[in-house]
Amino acid sequence: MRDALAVELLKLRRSPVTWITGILMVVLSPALCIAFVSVVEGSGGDSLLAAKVQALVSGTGWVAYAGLLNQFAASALFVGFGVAVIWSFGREFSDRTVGSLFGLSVRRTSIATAKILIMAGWGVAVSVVMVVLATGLGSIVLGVPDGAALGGMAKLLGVAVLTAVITLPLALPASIGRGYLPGIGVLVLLLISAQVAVLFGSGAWYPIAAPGLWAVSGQHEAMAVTAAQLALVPLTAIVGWVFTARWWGRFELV
Amino acid sequence: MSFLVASSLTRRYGDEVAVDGLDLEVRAGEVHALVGLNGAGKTNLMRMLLGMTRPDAGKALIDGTNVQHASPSIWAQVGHVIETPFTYPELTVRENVTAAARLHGVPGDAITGQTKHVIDLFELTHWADARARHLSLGNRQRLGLACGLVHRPRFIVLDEPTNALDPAGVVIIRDLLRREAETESAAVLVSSHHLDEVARIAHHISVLHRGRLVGSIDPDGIDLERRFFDLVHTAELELQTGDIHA
Repeated sequence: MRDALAVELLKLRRSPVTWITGILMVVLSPALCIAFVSVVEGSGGDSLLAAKVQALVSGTGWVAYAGLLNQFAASALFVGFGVAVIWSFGREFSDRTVGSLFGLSVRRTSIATAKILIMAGWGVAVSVVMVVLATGLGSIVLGVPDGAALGGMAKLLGVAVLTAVITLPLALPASIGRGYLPGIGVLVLLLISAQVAVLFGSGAWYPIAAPGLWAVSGQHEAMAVTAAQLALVPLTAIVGWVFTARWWGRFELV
Repeated sequence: MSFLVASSLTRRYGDEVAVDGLDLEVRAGEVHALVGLNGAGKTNLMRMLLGMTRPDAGKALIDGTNVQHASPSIWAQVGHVIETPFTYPELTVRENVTAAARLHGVPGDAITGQTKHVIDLFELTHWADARARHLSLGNRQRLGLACGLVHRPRFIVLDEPTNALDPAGVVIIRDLLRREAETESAAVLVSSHHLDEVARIAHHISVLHRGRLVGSIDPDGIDLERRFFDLVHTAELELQTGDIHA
């Protein structure tokens, strides 16, 4: 298992895909959100853009920034983390390297598990770096954060980590579909299904939608999410890992 | 002792029989070559021997163990390159070989030494720190072979190993396979389209046609090409007349 982890970590460190998606996620969300909040604060809320942004946030300053970041992160990170997970598994089929993963002293279930663990660790690392950067950026533009602002940032970390965790089961469609595209297709379907679940009022019990709902729960009472509902997120990831590892242990080349 | 065994192996894809009740033994210390036309079943046979696909009937054995139940310690003794080799474009040559060594179970303190050894052996030293994506097709094939053989396996399965190799690369792989078989008692199974080439390295040459073993060719014989086509044409004729089942 240690060898599989070392090899997957090496692939992750050298991959342009994870570097680009990681940097985009770390930089884009805080930069866009601070820009939106600055527009609202700077124009006094009179511009067209400010009016649109104000519809998304409540409060001003750090409260607005943290709220906007949480909303933005839930959807943007789902795509970013999802693409990375799909790449990690799908690339073995698209690049046709999967054949060389047979006949090794490391079992393929261990390789699949190593991929999941490395992607989970990378998701946590990206989340931490993003929150640190977002807090630093906010401090420069909006001033020193108070307790409530730091609470908002802590929640952002939770939303980001849960979002990273809920994308891990995308390993399964990328594997069964033997490439990137089936995984991307499922990612899009999941995004749509999350919207539908929220519209029908059952989003909190739907693990794909729960982190996003939690992200906005402070601003919309109707969207409250309980700890039990959030606990379904890691549970879903574990189920996804079990099925993915099992599939990797049994699949044949075609 | 037979280290690699195919026993009545059969694999179908729909109505197409890719491998048809095939029996084959590769003994320790010998290089056994498979030759055949495109689609003869060489790659399908090798895939089943390596557990990449499951047979519809029969079994594949490595060192007496059914490959479907082979443990990591068995696989640690197997080296192979089938179709696309172990080459990740974002990794350097050295990183690729190191990664392969880890996954093949090379002990931690031996990885650096064995990595350097195969990089030197396949004359990839100049490109050791170059990303694999920047290598020529021939050097990528050399890298794939280095990755497949870094752990000094006792059982070697190579599907058309000299594809894309220049003459120098062909000589390297030829010498390596003979040496591993004759001095290390490795069991080597290779496939190729090139009769002259396999005649130089193989102790036995088996001819496959439409998923069946239809005969063998003496590597020291003359006019190998004629012998090959005689076997293939005879087998084809028998298949068409249905006599092969008689």
